[in-house]
Amino acid sequence: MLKYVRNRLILLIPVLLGITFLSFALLSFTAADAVDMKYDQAGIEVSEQVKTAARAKLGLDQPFLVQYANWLGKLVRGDMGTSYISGKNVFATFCSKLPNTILLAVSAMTVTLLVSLPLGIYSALHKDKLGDRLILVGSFLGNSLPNFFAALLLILIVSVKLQWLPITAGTGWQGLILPTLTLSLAMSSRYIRQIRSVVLTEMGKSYVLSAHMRGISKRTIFYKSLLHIVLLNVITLMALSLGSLLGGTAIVETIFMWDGVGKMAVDAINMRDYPIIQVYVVWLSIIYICMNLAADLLYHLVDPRIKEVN
Amino acid sequence: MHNTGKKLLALLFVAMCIAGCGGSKNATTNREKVFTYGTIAYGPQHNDVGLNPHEGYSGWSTVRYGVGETLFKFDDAMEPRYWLAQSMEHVNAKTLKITLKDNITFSNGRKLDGQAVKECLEDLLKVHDRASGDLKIAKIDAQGQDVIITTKTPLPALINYLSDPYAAIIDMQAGVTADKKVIGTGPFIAEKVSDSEIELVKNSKYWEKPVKVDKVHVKAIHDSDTLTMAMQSGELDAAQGLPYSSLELFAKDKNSYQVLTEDTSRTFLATMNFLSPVLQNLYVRQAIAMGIDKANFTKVLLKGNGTTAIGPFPTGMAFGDFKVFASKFDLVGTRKLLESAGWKDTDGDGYLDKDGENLTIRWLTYPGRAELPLLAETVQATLKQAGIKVVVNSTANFRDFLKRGEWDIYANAMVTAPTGDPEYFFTTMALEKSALNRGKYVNPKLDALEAKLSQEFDKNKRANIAVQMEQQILNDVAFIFVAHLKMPFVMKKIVTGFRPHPSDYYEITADLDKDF
Amino acid sequence: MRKISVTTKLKFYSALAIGVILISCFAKWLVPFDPNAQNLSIALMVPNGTHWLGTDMYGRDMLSRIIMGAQTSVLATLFLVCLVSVLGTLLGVFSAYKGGAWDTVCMRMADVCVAFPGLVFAIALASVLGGGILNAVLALTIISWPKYARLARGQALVQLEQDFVKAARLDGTTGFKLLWRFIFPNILDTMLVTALLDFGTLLMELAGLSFLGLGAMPPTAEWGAMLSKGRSMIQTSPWTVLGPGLAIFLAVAIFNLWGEAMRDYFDPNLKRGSRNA
Repeated sequence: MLKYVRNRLILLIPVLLGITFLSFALLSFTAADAVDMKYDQAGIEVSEQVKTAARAKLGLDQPFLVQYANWLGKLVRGDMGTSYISGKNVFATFCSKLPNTILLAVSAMTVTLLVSLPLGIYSALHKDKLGDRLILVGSFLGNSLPNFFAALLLILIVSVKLQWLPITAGTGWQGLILPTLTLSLAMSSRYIRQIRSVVLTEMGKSYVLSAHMRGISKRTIFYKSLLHIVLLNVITLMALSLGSLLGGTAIVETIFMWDGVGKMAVDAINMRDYPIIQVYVVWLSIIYICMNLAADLLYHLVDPRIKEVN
Repeated sequence: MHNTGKKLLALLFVAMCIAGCGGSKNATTNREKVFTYGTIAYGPQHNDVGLNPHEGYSGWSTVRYGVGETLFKFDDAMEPRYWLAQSMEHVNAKTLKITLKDNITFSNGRKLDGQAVKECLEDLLKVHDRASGDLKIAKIDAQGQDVIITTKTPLPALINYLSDPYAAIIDMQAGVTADKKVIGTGPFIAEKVSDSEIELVKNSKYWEKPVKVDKVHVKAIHDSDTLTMAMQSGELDAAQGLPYSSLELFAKDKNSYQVLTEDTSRTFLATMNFLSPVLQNLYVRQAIAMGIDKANFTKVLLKGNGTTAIGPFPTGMAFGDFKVFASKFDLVGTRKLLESAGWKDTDGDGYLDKDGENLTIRWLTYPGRAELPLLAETVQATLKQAGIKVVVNSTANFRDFLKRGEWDIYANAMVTAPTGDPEYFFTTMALEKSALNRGKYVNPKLDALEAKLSQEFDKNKRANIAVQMEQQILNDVAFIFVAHLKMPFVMKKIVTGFRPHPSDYYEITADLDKDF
Repeated sequence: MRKISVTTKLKFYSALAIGVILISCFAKWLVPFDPNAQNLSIALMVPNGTHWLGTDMYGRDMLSRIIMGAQTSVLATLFLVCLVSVLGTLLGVFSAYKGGAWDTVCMRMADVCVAFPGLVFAIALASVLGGGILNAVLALTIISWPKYARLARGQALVQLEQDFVKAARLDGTTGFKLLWRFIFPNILDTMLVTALLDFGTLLMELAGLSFLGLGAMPPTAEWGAMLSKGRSMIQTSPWTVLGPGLAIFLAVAIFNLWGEAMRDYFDPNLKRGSRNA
């Protein structure tokens, strides 16, 4: 088992190298660079001499292979560089925003599970009854409503009309509520349908029917043998969801001014701020690989029948 | 029972004390005036984080939020007026002597004198590439309250550039803190600076007049809908950067809000690509110019938050729109022009063609400024009526297409006179060697006029030459100017002393006040 | 509640879904007004007798634009959904079946695609290939396939351990035949439901790339773009947003229910007609 984990984690290094190289390479194809973004602000046009000098200072006039090699060299010595735009230390900037993203991710995931597990199971066990239909409509609504829209409506109702929560609450617990609800709404809709679908599939299987005919109630059958199948599916979903949550949801962070790494990353990508992009990409790689690994291990734990292919 | 009674009495006594203390505090001291201001313009993506004017565009933050001031400031007609300076003298074509006012101190008590200005400007020139390129300063001398600036070549627009926020005067000896706070001469002092919030307290030693508001809280909100709703919920006292479509929510509630707007020189313009075969013919360019319904665009799509443009500068300026002439929106005239250029609809598909090819224009623009794609779509519709096929490419990657030459018309938003001086537009965009002459427009007459302008110090004569240059580029249809934007501020009714400025540089001032 | 048979349900939702697809295909002939005809003097009109859903900011008829929008929104999104789910499922199932090096390579490639910020990829693609709907679909396919691959692989691994599959293998059934007869049918329902659940998300993601020029270009009507562009007007001209929003909701609901009906009909473990559990 440990050997398996170690083998997977070793793969982290080539993946990291591949991804950081790719992100450098791909962005260098585009005509714009950080200097363009820095100076083309607010409609002011700046002369080429100024920009050329600025590029030389940042090393942006070198071919991208040289730039990448330089970045790699500094990374090995523990220096992740400074932002092309703000000049601030990239690692420090990243670390100051990461806790916010983690907080939001955990809270959204928790609320989603608390809502979708009971509702999804209830919906399946009471298929086609009124409760199921209501949950169905609700989940379609949540699923077809894009993130920014749900956010907009929530703010409009909760902050503007009802005045229950301030919008500009920053990153305290008050400011956590609305973004969590926004994210949970979309995620729950999906989870509920997925869970319902899995339960229904399993409930229809012959061994369940035969148990039912022998007089065992649906509920008992469910809890005794189906729960772990549900968990298996939920685990896969969670791995992907947590991965994207921990990468930061830029739209939600922007709307609620939640100071996380999602918005930081999108701003950096749009501004071609390579040092920040690289730190973000490294973070993403680490979490996705770890999430996938955790999911695969949990899979194996929950259902030992699944042999992990090496 | 006895014990419980005592405890209860003690509790009651304590409670009364607390209530009494709280109450008396409210009764005897005045409530603190806190002004909460939401803006879209502060943040890393605008390169204006922090209050150090020698860094990027942060000077805008220094001046906007009342921390720093420049030697000269712009009035509503974008003319430089004295601010920290009280008089000046042109010693010769390359040397300017500026005398500072005598009663000004920095917020830390240091007196503002020539030496302080010299230290600040020298650091600016050393560190800030845009400033050193603009100011072309050879050396600076200080004598008491005088500052003597010598430029490398005669620079008529020196005062205008000294009004740019990067030239805000800060105390270099106090320096810049790690979180980018500085000491300036302005009505407010920064207490906390982050990349999304600034907290300011009043400078009780402010030189010009008493400051009325005790605290200012600047909050950056980058989502325009969030900004709108924060204003509606009452959390903000004022907001800058609201989308035009939200303004009516506040304009119609005259009891709670007021909306103030001001013309700016931020202009929507379309650049013609002179390397494009389709646009070689003057008639075609003229036809396109006549096929754009500027008036309706401004009225309907900008919701009146702009003025129809003729030339690059708005009417409020001495060399503005009222002095130049361009043809009006006229679809019939468009057809006639195109016909005389040889374009006819021979295959009946609604588009004019010649030699088997439809008259197609590639319109390149970007969605970063929400109204530019609106312009693109409405132009597409009106030019379609004229028989021209417009293919719209609205992308954040517009530089790629510019570089590859894959465009016929490039539409963007630009501040055409950021320092109130007309020369900047031409040297940047319209001369043969202009760095940003993307369409490769060349007219020797224009270059000759610029040579004259660069040597001319008299303001009126400068305006005249500028007008001639404007008319030239309009006659050549090198650019089509569509609209000059207005900038709106929304604020609660109780706020006074707060209004937008054409330059976009001045926002929080000592005049700011908030009734209760 | 009267129990409806699985077959009837399938027929009903199929009819609805095909109806939506037909509307998308024949939109051009179904619109009451030219969806691209601008008339600034009647911009932002409240819904009335002539314009049932009002007009947008250019004075274009909203109803016509929503019908026309189906063409891009529904067809392009369906195409994307099919492409992504089929590709992902195939790769996932093969990984589970083959195991070993193939599995490692495939899944690590999936890791890279998922961990790599899609925005960077989209920017680069838009820069090199230009804009348009097809490039948008391409970008999103490459960004989104890993999810289906992972899900399919997980499901397939479970199926491969089932006794009846093991029996079949012992019997000599291998390769494609095995996958086709034993694996795919059993994972079809989950994959189908997941794919159709993503219809709404992928539609909005298609719209989300429009700032790079990827996606429908003006004046083409597209629901996601209408929703995004109209969001600032939700308080002042809500019909410009509610119309496309409702259209998206209906499309999502119809396709999801269709998927469910198909799942119910094709589920080999369920006896038809005995849905009354």
